[in-house]
Amino acid sequence: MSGYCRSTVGMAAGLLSLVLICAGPAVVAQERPQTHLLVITGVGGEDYYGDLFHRWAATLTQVATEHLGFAREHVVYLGERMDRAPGVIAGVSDKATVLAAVERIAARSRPGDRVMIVLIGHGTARGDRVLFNVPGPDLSAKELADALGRLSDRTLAVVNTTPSSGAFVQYLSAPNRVVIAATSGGAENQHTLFAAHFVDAFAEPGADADKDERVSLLEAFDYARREVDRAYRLDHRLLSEHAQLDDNGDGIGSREPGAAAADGSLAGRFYLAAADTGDPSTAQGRASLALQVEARRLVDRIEGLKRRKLGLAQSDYETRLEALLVELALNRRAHRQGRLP
Amino acid sequence: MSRGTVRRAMAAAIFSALWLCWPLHAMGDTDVPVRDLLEAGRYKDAADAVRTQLGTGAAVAQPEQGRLWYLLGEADSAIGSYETALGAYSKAAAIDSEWRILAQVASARLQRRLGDSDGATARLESVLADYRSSTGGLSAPQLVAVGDAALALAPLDASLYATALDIYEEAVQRSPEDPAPRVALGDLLLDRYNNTEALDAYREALEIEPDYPPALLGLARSQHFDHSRSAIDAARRALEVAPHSVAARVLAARLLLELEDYSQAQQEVAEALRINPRSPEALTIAAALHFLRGAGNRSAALVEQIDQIAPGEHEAYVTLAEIAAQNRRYRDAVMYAVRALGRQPSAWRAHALLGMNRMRLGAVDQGRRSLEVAFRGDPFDVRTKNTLDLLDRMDQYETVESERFILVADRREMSILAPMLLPIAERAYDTLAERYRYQPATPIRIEVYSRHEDFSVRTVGLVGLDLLGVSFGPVVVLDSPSARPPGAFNLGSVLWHELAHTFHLDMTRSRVPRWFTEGLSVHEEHRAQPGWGADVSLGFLTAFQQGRLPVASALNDAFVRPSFPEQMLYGYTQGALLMDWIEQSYGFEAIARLLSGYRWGRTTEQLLPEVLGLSSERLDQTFDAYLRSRYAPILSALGSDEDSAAVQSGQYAQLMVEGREAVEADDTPLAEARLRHAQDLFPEHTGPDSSYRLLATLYTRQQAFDRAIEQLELAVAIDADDLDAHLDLAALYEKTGQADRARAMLERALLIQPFDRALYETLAELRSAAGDWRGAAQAWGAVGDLDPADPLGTRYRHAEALFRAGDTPDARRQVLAALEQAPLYPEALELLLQIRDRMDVEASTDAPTSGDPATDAIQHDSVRGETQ
Repeated sequence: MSGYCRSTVGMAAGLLSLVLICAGPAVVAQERPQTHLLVITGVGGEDYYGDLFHRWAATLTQVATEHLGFAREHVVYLGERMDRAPGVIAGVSDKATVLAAVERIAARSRPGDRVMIVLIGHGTARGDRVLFNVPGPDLSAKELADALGRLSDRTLAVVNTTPSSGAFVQYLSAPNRVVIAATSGGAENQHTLFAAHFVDAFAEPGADADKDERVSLLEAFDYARREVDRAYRLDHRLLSEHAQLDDNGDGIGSREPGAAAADGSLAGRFYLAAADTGDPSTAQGRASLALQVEARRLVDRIEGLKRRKLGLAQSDYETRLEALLVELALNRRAHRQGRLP
Repeated sequence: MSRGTVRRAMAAAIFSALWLCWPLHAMGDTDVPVRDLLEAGRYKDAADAVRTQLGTGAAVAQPEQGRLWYLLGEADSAIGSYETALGAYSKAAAIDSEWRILAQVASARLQRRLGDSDGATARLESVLADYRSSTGGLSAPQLVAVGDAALALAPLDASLYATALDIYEEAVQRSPEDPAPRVALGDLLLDRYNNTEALDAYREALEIEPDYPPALLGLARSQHFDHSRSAIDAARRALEVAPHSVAARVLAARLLLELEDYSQAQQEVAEALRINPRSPEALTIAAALHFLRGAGNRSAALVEQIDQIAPGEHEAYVTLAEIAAQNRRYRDAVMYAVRALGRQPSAWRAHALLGMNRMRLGAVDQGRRSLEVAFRGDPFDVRTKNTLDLLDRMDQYETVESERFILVADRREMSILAPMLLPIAERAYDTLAERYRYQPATPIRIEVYSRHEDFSVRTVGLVGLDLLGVSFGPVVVLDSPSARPPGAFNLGSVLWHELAHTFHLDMTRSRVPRWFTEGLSVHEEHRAQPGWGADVSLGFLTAFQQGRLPVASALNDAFVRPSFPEQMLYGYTQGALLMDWIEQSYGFEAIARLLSGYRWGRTTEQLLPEVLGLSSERLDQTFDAYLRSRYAPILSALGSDEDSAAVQSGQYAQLMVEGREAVEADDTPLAEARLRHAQDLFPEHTGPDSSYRLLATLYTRQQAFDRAIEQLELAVAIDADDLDAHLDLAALYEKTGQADRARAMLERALLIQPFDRALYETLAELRSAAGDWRGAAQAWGAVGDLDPADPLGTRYRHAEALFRAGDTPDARRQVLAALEQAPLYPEALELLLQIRDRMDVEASTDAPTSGDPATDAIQHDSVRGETQ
């Protein structure tokens, strides 16, 4: 399947932003956090890999601007060679340019903004030489970590999809920061598939596990990890990349992060797509808001019912669940059709 | 359990006659005439000579008497005079001489053979006790005898295996330049399934003495253990240096029997029995030969004779059980194993054979119990352990039944395999039952293994079996496609093939020769569906042209003793062609009569004149002419070289090269001229480098889709294993608006690649578009079972298809399951409302729906329209 079919309507997606919305329309419009995306491809070594890395990076930047609501100026793609896509690749991904790009994001973003940096290419790790292979001198994990210090009051995500990227985690881990690596450590140094599936998580349907019409970083990570596993299994190959995610700042990644796990809480709230929040200054907007509040209440009741599932007979549970869901469905239908409650 | 029940390793008994040569020499025997007589196989003369010496009476000193009585025991034993041999050994054992320990062990062996198991055990325990209380100083032969005693007692006390090993190693150290202890060590290791170290021991013995017969025999047994075809060469080499060795004759006969060279095997047995007419081992092989040739009464008479000669032994039954199982006579194998256990309840090998063969007959629980008993008694048996380990893993498997079949498969695969395989199995049963006018007993058990290693263990107890499927008759065992690289084979055709075997085995009481049932099963695949079954290949035709294939009457050689790696594969094709020819020339009735003849024990040689009116020679000539005529165009175009490069140099190869180059150059006229000519010469050539695929590529590139479709249709009609051709054709059908054909082609492709999620997704979409909602629901269900990338999205699509198919309860169940995980899933919420609406309508009218699910389905595209 190809093409982008993700909805931009987003009705439930706005629920998490209710508090901000209530603060007043002018303030909301002005202070809504922005998301910045920096995609960097390193050296390919040979055309096959160079083209592959470019394809993944170009797809991600295209999805960001065309389907996830990113402002064009908030998406920067640095590549090995600009001639692969003039006009799309903003600069050559040598160390100085990469560090300058981070600096520029630090300058133009505000506290509370979200920033995601994605590294695609080759990487190596030997002892404390943990490197992302870029044109010219390689970019070390420590150099990148130092540069990211300028973004400490932003919500930051660094996704390193390269071989040996697991060794980056301990360098990059910090509070309020999601660090994703394609491998469990430096020893997993073969070409990785993680980037392909991580990009697919935003470009193809399937990663949106909770069907709220937005893909969180946690969902993207889970999707990519699952699809990487499947690809190796179908090829009858031993899995040689074990992706990990760290977002509690302890420098130790989790293979299976989640809301209840050591890692995953921040990644579960980190979205690339902007929330669709209506305009509360109008009657229709307020009606919509009321419906959303009611929907949130119904979802909470459903979650409560699920917690009591084991104590209920299956048929009783299903009946109660169905009743709540029907109520929720009517609520959503009304919201979609613009009706007042 | 009686303590008198002693199982002695068979190898030791086999070698007993041979071993007598070295003790005489090693222990300082100076009686050269007697030794010469023994080594020349003149056992009776040797016995007479010894008796003469003993008859001189008082002049013989006590130690010398011990030696002479021992020699007499050996000579008498070698010709089957076991009772007198036992007397002689007993006398030697009663005399305090260096021969005493050897005589004790030899007499225990004969006591057991003659039915005095308690006496034998007591004697062996006495030998072992004496050894343990001794202060050392035993010679290497004496140590080997003590090791033999420990080994003989080991079935009752497994710790004695280690004791025997230690004692043999002590013997090796005592006499490093003597090959005999190393052979004893090798025999023990081989008996304990450690062939790697056993082989080392035999090789070390042969380095000391290159023509040492027991080591040569050990080498042959080691190679036999590894299923090496060199075993018979090693056995023959042993016979060259020890032509009077009954043990070597018996082993050679067994190996020849396994190669189905019954006449040669019979000659070896006859020679062994000429030397020792009462050899239980030789008589066992003779009984097996009669059994395999359908002479059950003669076989039974020989078994009775063995019982009379060796009432205390059970090994004959174990050997017969092994041979029966090797020849697919699993019920007979069970019968012989049971009889072995009737004689010796602690015959662990018999328990193992009973277990394995009960499982092959479908009695899995019974089989498991037998294997567990076997494992408790003999934890070294790797086949038993592997099979029990597999059974432990079978809790991941589940069972689904149809009218006449029980399907056992990995529970993760069952939802895909059951709806695919059971209808094929039922159709195969109906088709074959009508054709053969025969109905095998049901239910037939089909086991599908998701790991090839498990399939292999289930089949032979070991890993490494290079087959896709096996039929034991009432049980068919298959590799799941997940056990092989994607697209490796067509599951439907393999199942059909194995079920055809089930018919043949049941109809003939498992007496059908392998070549016949293999050829006939491929022939049945060809009849079942276009493209199924092994195809004639260029390699096959080249081998035929070069005279490397066996003649028709010797086709079994391709299966039991192939002379080059591909020959067995070609044997399937050759067999199928032979069946084609027989059916074309004589009608199916001839095949049915041949099967009937096998059932009643007739041989192929007997049946050919009766059924076809042909001698073997005439069959070979006629079939050869048939092949040359049928494939004349391609044979003439393959080139005349007789080397393996012929196919590269002939006209056909040239056409293909030029055709491929023309396709690459987009030169349509030249490509068509060359490749269509190639098709005329050899239409069976399929696969990625075939003329069909090359032309399809060319036409697709030119967007001449109808012509590309035509080529691919030809390809899939010949080769149902070509996944890419099926997928390309389905895509072209879809592109040209032939959705029905696209669906049908994808359904065929699923038999090659049934766990391909994307195939099911496409199929589901096509079925949905065609309004086949039930089919779409089945396909979405399959997607859901294949670890979908979007589990909730898949569940929603499944629910939607169920709803549109009119299955409201299942649709409700699915959509609730999706919403439980994602309560705000917009499309699923809307579907839930529609389901509720329909349920309300149904409840209020208390009447069924209109009968048209598509009409009943409430349109809800508006929701999707908004969100897509």
